[in-house]
Amino acid sequence: MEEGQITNHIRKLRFLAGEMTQAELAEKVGVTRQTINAIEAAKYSPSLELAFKIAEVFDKPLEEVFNYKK
Amino acid sequence: MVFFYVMFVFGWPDTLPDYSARFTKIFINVFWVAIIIELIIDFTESKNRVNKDERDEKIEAVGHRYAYRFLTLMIVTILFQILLSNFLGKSASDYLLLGQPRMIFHALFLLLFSASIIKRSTMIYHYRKSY
Repeated sequence: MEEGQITNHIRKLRFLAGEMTQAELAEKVGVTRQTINAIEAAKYSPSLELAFKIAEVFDKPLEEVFNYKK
Repeated sequence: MVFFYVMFVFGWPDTLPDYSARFTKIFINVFWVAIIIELIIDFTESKNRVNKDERDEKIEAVGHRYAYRFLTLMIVTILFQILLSNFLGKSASDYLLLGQPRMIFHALFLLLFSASIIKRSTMIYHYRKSY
């Protein structure tokens, strides 16, 4: 199966949320700062639950935070 | 752990004076200090920080998988050696490395140690790669 790529706008959304730090976001969604860093760099694809939690923090629908490209 | 294993296998070198009592005392002191430090760190960090999340668990699972495969393969090899040893008779123990129970004990110990190293190395690799 061909693997797609999951991109995200977390960096931009953090900036728009008053330059929220990775650590703050990590604490809000219950993961480590390193995981947020890996997600932002598109090196780790989060679980569906974590993706929804991140979207909820920014008060955005999931598709505005994460994109899937084939 | 390796130190104690080596001491168990080879014994204390005769050329060196006997420091065993002093070593035991140092080991026990270090053990208690390490436990106290770990408890303090755990207490202070668990208040407001997440120590382990889904990414850590995934990476740990990959490490476990590789260690388990290695361990399974090596244990099957050891079992095969034992079977071969029994099948070929007593003379086989002279030729097979693991023909003797004593050697099997050492091999199992080293296998467990190697499996642990494989697990940790895999985890470090995936953390570096940022899984």
